[in-house]
Amino acid sequence: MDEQKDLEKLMDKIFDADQLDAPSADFTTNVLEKIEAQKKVRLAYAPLLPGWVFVIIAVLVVLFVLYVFSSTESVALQTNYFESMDFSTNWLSERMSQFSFSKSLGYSILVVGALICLQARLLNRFLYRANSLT
Amino acid sequence: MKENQPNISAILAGDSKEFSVLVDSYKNVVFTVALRMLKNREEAEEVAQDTFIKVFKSLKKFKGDSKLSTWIYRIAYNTCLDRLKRKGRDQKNIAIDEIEGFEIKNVDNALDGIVKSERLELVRNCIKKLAPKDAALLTLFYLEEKNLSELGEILKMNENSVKVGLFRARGRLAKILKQYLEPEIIGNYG
Repeated sequence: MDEQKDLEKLMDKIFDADQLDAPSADFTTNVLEKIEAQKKVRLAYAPLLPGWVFVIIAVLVVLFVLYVFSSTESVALQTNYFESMDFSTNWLSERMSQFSFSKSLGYSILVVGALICLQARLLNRFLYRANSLT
Repeated sequence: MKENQPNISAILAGDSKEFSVLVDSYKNVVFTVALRMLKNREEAEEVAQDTFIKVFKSLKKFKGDSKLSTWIYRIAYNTCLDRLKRKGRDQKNIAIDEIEGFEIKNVDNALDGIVKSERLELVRNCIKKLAPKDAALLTLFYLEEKNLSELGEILKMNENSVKVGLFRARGRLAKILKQYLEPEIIGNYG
C-alpha cells in the first residue's frame, strides 16, 4: 500500500514538471484549409440530377402505373392485377397500332427501372460514405 | 474546464471561426497524445489534423452524452491506433521488471537533485519509451486530469481495467526513469 502511495507521489512530481506540447503555429489554419478543400471535393460528387428531377420522374412513373391500371375495366374487382394490365386497349396502342407492347416488356421495364433507382440510391449512399471517411 | 467553450450549433451551421475556437481549445492535448503515442512530430501533427477533420465531419453525431473533450480525445486515440496499425508498429509494452518499493524512493530522491528545466526533458524522454496506450493513459490522467470513467470512455475500457492499466503504466514509467537516473542514484549512495 505504501509502495503504491510512494509511486503516486513520484508520479505527481514527474508530471508536475511535464507540459503539453504545442503543434506548429499554422496548425488551425491547416485544419480549416483541409476542411475547405474536402468540401470542394464533396461538391464534385454531387448527383448529376438534382432531387427535384427524381421527384418528377417518380411522379411520372406513378402516373404511368395508375394510367395503365385505370385503362382496363373493373380492375378493382380483379385479384390478379398483372392480368388486368391490357396494353392492347390503352391510349398508346390506339394511336400506334403497329406498336405492340407486350405484358412482359411492360413488367421488365418496371422491374429494371425499379432496380436502377434502387442501385442508384445504394451507390449514392456508398460513395457518399466512402467520400466522407477519407 | 476550458475557458473558451466552442459553440457547437454555430459550427454545425457552418461557422468556421467557431470551429477554429474548438481546434485552438483542444489542439495541444490532441497533439501531445498523438506525439506520445506515435513518437514522431510530423506524424503526430498529421494525425492531430486528421482528428479535427473527423471531429468536424461527425460533430452532428455528437449528442452530448459525454464531455466534448472526452469525445474528441477518443477520436484522437482511435486515429492514433489506426495509424499505428496501418504502419504495422508494435503497440505492446517492452518487458520491464516490477519496480521495488526502495527503488521508488531512490528515484524520488534522485529526481530532487535535477533542476526543473532538465526534469521536463527527462520526463519526455521517459514517456517516449512507454507503449502508446500507457503514454496516452498517463498523459490524459495527469495533464488533462481525466477521471477513471472518462479514461474508460476514451480508451474503450472499463474502470477497473483503467485502474490496473494506470498502476502498471506508473510502475513502468518509474522503472524507465530509474534507468535514466542510475548515475544520480549511484551518486547519492557515494
